[in-house]
Amino acid sequence: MNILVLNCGSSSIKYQLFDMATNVVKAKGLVDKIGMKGASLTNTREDNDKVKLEGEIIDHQIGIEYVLGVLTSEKHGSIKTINEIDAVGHRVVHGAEKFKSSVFIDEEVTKQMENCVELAPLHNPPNLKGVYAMKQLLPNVPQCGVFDTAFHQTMPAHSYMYALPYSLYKKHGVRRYGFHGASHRYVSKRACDILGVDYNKQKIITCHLGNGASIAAINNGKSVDTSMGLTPVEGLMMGTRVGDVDAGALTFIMNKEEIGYNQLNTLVNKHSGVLGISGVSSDMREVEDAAKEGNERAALSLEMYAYRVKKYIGSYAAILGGVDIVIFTGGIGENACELRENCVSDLAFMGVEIDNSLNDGARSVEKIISTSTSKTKIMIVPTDEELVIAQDTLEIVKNM
Amino acid sequence: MSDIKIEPVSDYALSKENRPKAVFSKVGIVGCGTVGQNLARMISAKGIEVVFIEISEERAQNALARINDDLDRMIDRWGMTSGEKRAVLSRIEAATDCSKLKDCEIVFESVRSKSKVAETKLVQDVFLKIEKNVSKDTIIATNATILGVTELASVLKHPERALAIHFLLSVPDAPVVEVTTGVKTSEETKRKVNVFTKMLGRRLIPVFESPGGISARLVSPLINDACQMFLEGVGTLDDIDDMMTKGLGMRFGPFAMADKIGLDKILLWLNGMYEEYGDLKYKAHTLLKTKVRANHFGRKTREGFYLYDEHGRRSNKVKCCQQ
Repeated sequence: MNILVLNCGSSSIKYQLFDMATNVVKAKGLVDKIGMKGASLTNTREDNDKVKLEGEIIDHQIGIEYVLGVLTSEKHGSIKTINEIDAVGHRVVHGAEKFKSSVFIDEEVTKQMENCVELAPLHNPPNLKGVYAMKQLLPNVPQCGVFDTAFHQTMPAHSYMYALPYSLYKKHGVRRYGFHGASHRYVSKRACDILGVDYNKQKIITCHLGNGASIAAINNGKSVDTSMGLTPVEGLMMGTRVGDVDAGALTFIMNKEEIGYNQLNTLVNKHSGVLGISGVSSDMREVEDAAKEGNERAALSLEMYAYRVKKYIGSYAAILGGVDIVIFTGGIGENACELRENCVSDLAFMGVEIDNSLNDGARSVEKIISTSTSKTKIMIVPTDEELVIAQDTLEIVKNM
Repeated sequence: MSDIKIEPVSDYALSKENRPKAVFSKVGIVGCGTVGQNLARMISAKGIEVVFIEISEERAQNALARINDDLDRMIDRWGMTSGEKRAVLSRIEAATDCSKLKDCEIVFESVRSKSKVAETKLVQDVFLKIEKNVSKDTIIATNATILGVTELASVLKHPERALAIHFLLSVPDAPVVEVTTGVKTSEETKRKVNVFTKMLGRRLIPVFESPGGISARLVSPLINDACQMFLEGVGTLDDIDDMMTKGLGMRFGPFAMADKIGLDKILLWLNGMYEEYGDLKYKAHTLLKTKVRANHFGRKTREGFYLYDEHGRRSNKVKCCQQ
């Protein structure tokens, strides 16, 4: 069975074609700069045949047509006709409270997804464009939606509510939803598989540290808390996002800098985080290099980054009543050795002990990096959100 | 990576039928003063190519430099990142030759004159020049507020393509735009412009031909009246502004708003509307006229009703009007 996974952003489409029988990625690629000059489609086939297609790609619909075109082409294709695609899985950023798991997308679901646009005005509309396009191009192929927020729908109310007037929750759905759900779910399950323990009997803290970063507390297979909120700005410090900040500071800044809603949005989303503190870059490698060369603000941003992760690990251990596994994933979590070490240093008092000899140099591999005596296992588990989407889609289609 | 092959994407089309051409991949602007610069910056920021035409190379370069400064100011004010600035600038081309407008899907004229009569003639000339250089589907738009679209379009071979698109440039993030159609503006033109304004993230407020539209027609008499109240000694500039902002929740008071829009522009609006409607409420107040004669146009000249520093922020010095 072949499943096409689509992740449609505002001006891009990421895709992967999975052969679910063998779990092989037959092709993957990126459509970039949709609707702009310099649009392109880059496709990489299983045998490493790479092609970059350039020309006008005016919208998602046409972008997806070209994806299907290249996948079925003689020269660079992986399948003979589009009929060999058995199902399509879509990544959908916001599912609000309506979607507690991945779903088969029918008319009703499409409507509900449209209703969620308000909560994620930047992300959901392009996700939906992918759904519309596929409905036209492959009308008889089942489509499934996998939501970033769904995994966290198990959070109890005392964890997801903000202490704002309750009426705002009722009126506008103002509450914490959390994101990166597919990633938190995948790495936590995968870690239990590797360790050979029962997923439903573990207390797990997953740190997804990438461009965006979030951390989740998972108790017996269920997310009970996570650091991102109504939007992906809350929680950990990120590349360019501010993370937790006093709401009073924001209104203070708006007043002092005489800025409005749009500028404040740009400020907390694009000018803050590691970039805002270091002044160097939002790229962790560049910031680490700068810190090594003596840039104090770069060093400060790294300290702040690790400090916040650690603070969350401590508080999540408290709400879980201990922790069996701490997992690092995401571009930074999988690769930044020193930062990982700083996130869990001096936690021996609660049974979390990292083995520096195992941690040093470990990059993008599945690995246990805690000492043999550590009560808590510390692990690196590279994330694979596309695979989760493909697997969920397979599950749904199989049961239809 | 040397092993990547580059090929045209069109070879991989699923269906061979004619693809729709990208709507609004390129926009032209004739006349790149303050308004033209703002338009260029705003449109390019949405990922659309912009070419603007100025009468001399020097003016063109000057306009580019000012766009650059504006973008820097936006970065300072947290509204943009330097990466976004590079992208915006890369999509703006400055030219002196109207033939560069050839493949634009929409062209704005943004030349202004000191009187309504002169401006109508000027804009008509520009419209004709644009029409000579573009395809028959290209929309020709004016950013003028008080000129009649029907009259402007009357010189065109295809008047159905003309309308007025009025961005409220004094409130750059306003999510609405006034679009004024004339007697001959076609449904197709309206439809396309609706798509265009959506691409820019703005809701189209349709206005049927009426000099001043909604915004200028309502705000100009307000400013006029505020001038009268100030001269009568009813209140100070700050008090009148504060009453309207803090009391009535307007974002800017009449004087701060006038300085933002430009007193010269408001005078032009009032004169135009007085001529059109004949109502005394549009008769420009003497204080406004005096300020314009003294070249106190507002923020852009650093002096209007209030004083401004080089960054366009209110200066703490004594207000010019209040001694």
